[in-house]
Formats: sequence, structure tokens, C-alpha cells
Amino acid sequence: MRRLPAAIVLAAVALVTAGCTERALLEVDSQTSPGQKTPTEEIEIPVEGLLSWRDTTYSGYVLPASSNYRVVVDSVDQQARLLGRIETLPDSIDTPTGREAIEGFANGRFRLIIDTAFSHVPPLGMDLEVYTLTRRYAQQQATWTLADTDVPWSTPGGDLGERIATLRIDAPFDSTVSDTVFVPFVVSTDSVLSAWRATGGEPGFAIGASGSTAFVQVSSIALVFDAKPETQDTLIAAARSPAGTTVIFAPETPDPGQTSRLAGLPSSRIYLDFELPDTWQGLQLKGSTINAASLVFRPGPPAPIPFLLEFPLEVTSFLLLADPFVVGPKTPIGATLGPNVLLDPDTITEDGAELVLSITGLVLAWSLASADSITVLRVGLRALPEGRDPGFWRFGSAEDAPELRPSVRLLVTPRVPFTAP
Amino acid sequence: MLAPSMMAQMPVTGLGLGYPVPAIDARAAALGGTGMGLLGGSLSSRNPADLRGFRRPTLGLTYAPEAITVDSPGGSQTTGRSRVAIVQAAVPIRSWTFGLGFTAELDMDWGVNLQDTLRSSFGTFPYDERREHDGGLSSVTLTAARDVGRFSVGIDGSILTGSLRQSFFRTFEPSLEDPTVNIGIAGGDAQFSFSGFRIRGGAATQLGSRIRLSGVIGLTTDFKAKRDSVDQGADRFDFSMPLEWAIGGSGQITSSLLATAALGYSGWSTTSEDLNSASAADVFWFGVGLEYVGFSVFGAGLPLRAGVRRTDLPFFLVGTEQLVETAVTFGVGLEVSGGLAAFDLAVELGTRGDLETSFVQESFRRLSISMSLFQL
Repeated sequence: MRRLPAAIVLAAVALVTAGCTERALLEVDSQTSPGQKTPTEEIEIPVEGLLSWRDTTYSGYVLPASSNYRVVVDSVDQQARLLGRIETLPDSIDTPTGREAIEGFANGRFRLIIDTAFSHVPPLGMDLEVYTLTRRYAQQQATWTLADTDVPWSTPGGDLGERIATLRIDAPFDSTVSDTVFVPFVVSTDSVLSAWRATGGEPGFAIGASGSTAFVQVSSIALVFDAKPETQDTLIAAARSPAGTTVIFAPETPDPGQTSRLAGLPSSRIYLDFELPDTWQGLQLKGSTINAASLVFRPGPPAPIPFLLEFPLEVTSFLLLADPFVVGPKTPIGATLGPNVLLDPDTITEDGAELVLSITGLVLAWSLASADSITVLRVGLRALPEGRDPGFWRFGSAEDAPELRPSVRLLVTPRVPFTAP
Repeated sequence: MLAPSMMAQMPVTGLGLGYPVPAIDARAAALGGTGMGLLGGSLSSRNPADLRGFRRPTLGLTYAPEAITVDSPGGSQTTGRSRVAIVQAAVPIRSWTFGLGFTAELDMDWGVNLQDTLRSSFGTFPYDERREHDGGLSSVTLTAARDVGRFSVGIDGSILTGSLRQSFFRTFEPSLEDPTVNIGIAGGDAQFSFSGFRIRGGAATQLGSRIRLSGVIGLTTDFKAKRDSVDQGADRFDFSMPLEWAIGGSGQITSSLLATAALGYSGWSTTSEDLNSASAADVFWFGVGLEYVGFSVFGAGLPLRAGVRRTDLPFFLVGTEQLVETAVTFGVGLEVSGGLAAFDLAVELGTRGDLETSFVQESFRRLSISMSLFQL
């Protein structure tokens, strides 16, 4: 029994000590909780609130010649033709008995694989037509009106010569049978191909459509023909892919002018630079934690037909490694700055719609950098895929009305004002 | 003045320069927090002259954890604090006694958690916020005391040292609308280091064998806080420190009953204008206690102690009333090995502040445990 008091004391000590564990108090109101505090605030700085803002649109990153936009169109709103050259027609061919000179060509036809998901055959049917060109064209520079830089076609749409092949396509086009069509020559294959062989395929050919509202997306073109060896009666089939292919279309893509533009063909990008103020309306930005930062663009009116963006695409922002207003369209680009953003033509027209692109990493680096080490932030925007079709979207620039001008949106947590008690 | 409903659960360690920790051992704590002129000696750090109460080399340590209930209009929460209140050594050499002590002075430890949601055009982000102060002020004290006639006189010098780490971290969860959107963490921390110097002089006398009286006066230089972090503005802060005095004593009422009382003053109001977030006012304190030594266990004395005390707390919220701390105290001691060692235990049950007038209120249960070795 004498040990009882000691046991009681020890038990009491243990209980009281266990109750002395330090735990953080759970508070419910940030403003009245003890300790230094700092808000996380969302702000939006219009371009006129920035120390500087410059934006511009550069075009030509993907040209018609290098895009996958291969269409022949005949409609009120758009005309489009494919140009190409067959540069490598042979003068000899392998036969079962050896290689022999070619005496002549026969049964020429163009094989086209049609992307039926994006093609439209008018109810009354249409004709696919292939013409020889009478004027050489430059693949990269050719447009509906120009065969080369400063060299206009005699007739917009290409100087067409003889119609060498044609195919009538009736509606509806049954793609379940085949999406490959052959456009047969309607003139002497031998005379056309022999002439191309002699000139290296120049001046080339043009594939067009005839039939109101005809729109054919072509994913592959080849010339298929039979060659007759000199010493044999047997015809030997052969095929050649065209070189120097491009698409020319009318109306031609308008110049962006002062507007900011994404996508299109030639494809357009928005390049910009800006300087953030150290403080905005009393809120310290420099040195603060930038939890999130975005460039906000307001959509302008839809582009006119046929440049209206029909299908969604993604937009990505990336770092520019030099001054785009000095270096120009070839300004070297760096890493992407944030996740891609969907540009959906169905929703971008809604009231209040915005194109919001994250630039958090860039602005955070600016915030944490020493003074003067990072002053101008340079950003580029482009569409993905780039140069898919002539469709583009316009956005407000610094020169537009205030409600269309871009802005910088920030989520900022200023430095905690730690001070002595 | 803020309405009470606006106030959060504010721990007293978050007010001003923190909570002044009484530099007393468990015996003094059980006797109403007195520790002045205690017959039988006290390893408290109230008066350097009282070290002459030990005639043998002595080493003592007092550990004083406390459980706390912090009250607010919205409810109560419990937490705790742990401190080594004092470590004191005393070495008598002829008519001198020299002492070396480590003492907790100001406790600034506290932490709060806050949960809320940030709504923005970037998304809706629940977040957890943690605010924490970790640190405080301590002193290292060198004491010299000697007998001068019927008096013991003593002087001590204390180096005040310590640090405080303030931190604030807001951790955001992913967006409720799109879990792939994260906005990370915001916050930071700052470190302050403290320095200062205090000098005290005291005297004590024994009237016969039954009464001992003690008095002390102390002066502290400006208390300096230096910010160790860079790029955060002013990095030095000076706080005026109080003039302090205290008197007390004890008397042997009967052969087995001892009574003690003490009171003191600290002029903390001089600090008020140096504070950013709190006010300060002068502090008066007193305590009384009784010790009964009639019990024993295994032949060892088992003194029983009880007391009450009241003290103002120096720091309080701007525009509110000064906090008062009151407590009832009791405890027990045990001498072992023929008086070569002693264990003392004290329990204090009390309250601090008043929710209606000072907007801060705590109730506490403090346990003080002292272990002393004599004749090292």
C-alpha cells in the first residue's frame, strides 16, 4: 500500500505530460488568425497597364506547298487546283529479258486517293480534270495569281493548256467500294509523257474540279502508265509520283494587317513581347509568388468564308529566344510555356469567350529573377496542327478597341511581410 | 476594436514578445509561484542572493510542460507547450556562492492551421495554410553571491539569446474543375535572432532561523531582434525592456508548516511603443503558498505544498484589456538518498485572459518537475 501514492503520482505525471503535446490550432478565418498573412489575389493587367506591349502576326511558317492541304475545289466561295510535275519519266525499263529502251507510253491515268471524310461531291456530280500547264511555276511561290514571285499567271488559277485527263464522278460517291479513283488520259499518253520526259516534267500539270460545290480532299496522287519496250509487244505497267506539288486557291489568304491571327495557310503565328510592372495597383508583383499567369486574348469576328475555321485545333504558347521585332518571323523559339489550349470554332464565338494561354513558368522566373536580369518577356503562339487548311481565327491586338485588347492575368501571392513582433 | 466574434483562437505565445516563462523550480511553482527567500533554498532564478541558501554544490533542472485549452467564440481547442524552465547550478566557495543558469524567458512558440478555398478564373483551389512561430528568448546567467554581515547579497549578469523562425505556407490542392491544374505553394519564412543583456542585484536576510526575506531589482538593455533573412526590409528591431523588482520571503509558522509570499513588478509598458502588433503594460504579480512537511515515505520527507498566484501578462491585443493569469498550485517533494537528491512536482491549474475583455483566453494545466542533486 505504501507504493500507492507513488503510483498515483507517476500516473498523474504521465497523463498531464501526454496532454502537453504541442498541436497546431485549427483556425477558420484567415483575416483574424494570428501571424503574418498574405493574400493570394487574382489580377488582370490590360496592355495599357503594362510597361510595354508589342504584338504582331507573322505568316508563312507552313506554305501550301508544304502542307497536307491538297484539295481541288470548284465553288462560289473557293477555287482550288493542285499543281505538280512528273519529273522522272524513264527512257528504259526492266523486262523479263533485261533492261530495254522504251518505245512509247500508253494508258496513262492519274491515280488519286480521296479523303472521303472531308470531300463533297455535288448532287449533280462533278468532273475531275487534269490540264497541262503552259507556264512554269515555282512550288514555294505559286499562288492563284502568281506562277512565281512577281510572275503572274496569264489567267488566274494557272495557265492551262490541253485537257489531258478527265473523270466523271457521280453523286453519291461510294467510298465503301474504294476511295481510289483513276482519271484516264483523253489524249495520247505517249505524246504527253514523251514531252514531259524531254523537259523533266515542265511546265507541269494542274488538277481541277468542275462542278458547283465540288470539294475533293486528295491524300495521294500518282501517274500510272504502261511502257512499251522497243523489242517487245508486252506493255509494262509503271507509276510515278509527282514532284513540286502545291495547291493554289482563290480567294487568296488575306494579309493579317493589324489583327492578330492564328492558323491559316500560309500559317500565321502571334509573336509578342511585354514588360510587367513591379507593382500593380499597390500589389507587389516582383519578388512575389506567381501561382498562375496567363495571356488572355479576345476573339475577333470570324474570318470570311472560305477562311472560317471549321474544325477545332490546339494553340500552344512558347518562349521566344530573341526579339521578334528585330529578328522577324525566323526568331528562334524555345520551350513551350504551358499546356495546349483547344480553339473550338463552336465555342470561341460565345459571349465572353477568351483564349487563355498559360505562361506561369515565364512570369514566375521574371518574378524571382534579380532586377534587370529579365525585363522583357517574349512569347509566341501558334496553332497545332499548323497549316492544316486556310481557316484562321483573328484576335484583338493592342491596336484594337479596349474590349478586344489582350491582357495578362495573374494569380499572385505577395511575399509574406514577416516582421518582428 | 474588433468584435469578439471576429477574433480567432489566439494563443498567448502569439502576443507581442510572447509569454514570459516564470523562471522557478517546481517547489516555488507549487508554492504559488513565489521562489523568493524560500527557507530551504530554491533553484529558481528570482534573486541572485538566494543562491546563498545552498551550502552545498547543487544542480537542478526543471521541466515544465503544460496542456492548454484555447478558447474562442467559436469553441475551444487543446494544445500544449513544453519548456525546460530552468537549469541552475550553484557552487558555494567559502562565503561566496557562484551560479550558472539557463532560463527560459519568453516563449514564442505557436502554430495554426487554416483551411479555405481560393476561387479564381484559373479554377477553384482548396488550400491548407500553416502559420508557425518557432522559437523564443532564453538567458544564460552567471551569478555571484556572498554573505555580508547578516545579509546575503548577489549580482547576476544574463546574456539574453534566442531566435524565432516565422513561417507561412499555403499549399493549394489541384483545381476542383481540372485536377491537372496546379498552382503550387505560396509562402516563405524568416528568421530572427535575439540578443540583449540583463543585470540584477539582490539581497536576502534571515531573521533568526524562522524567517527569510529577499528582494531583487533588475535592468535589461534594449532587446535586439535581427532579421537573418535578406531582402525583407528593415532587419533590426529594438525593444525597450522593463525595470523589474520583486520582494518576498518565507516564515516557519510551526516546525512543520512554512508560509511564503512574494510580489513583483515589471515595467513592460516601456516596450509598448516598440511593438507592431500588440500593446504592452506594466506587470504586477504576487503569490502565496504553504508547505507542510509532516509526511514521509520510506523515511524520506514528503513535503506537501499549495498556493495561489496572480500575475498580469505584459502583452495583449491592441485595443483590448491586459490579460491576467491566475492559478491554484499544489505539489509534492521527495528527498532521497539522505538529502543528496530531491524530486519536486508541481501542478498549476489556471486561466489566462478573458474572452470578452482581452479577446484571448486560455486555461492551462502546467506540470513542473524538478530534479536536484546536492553535494555534487
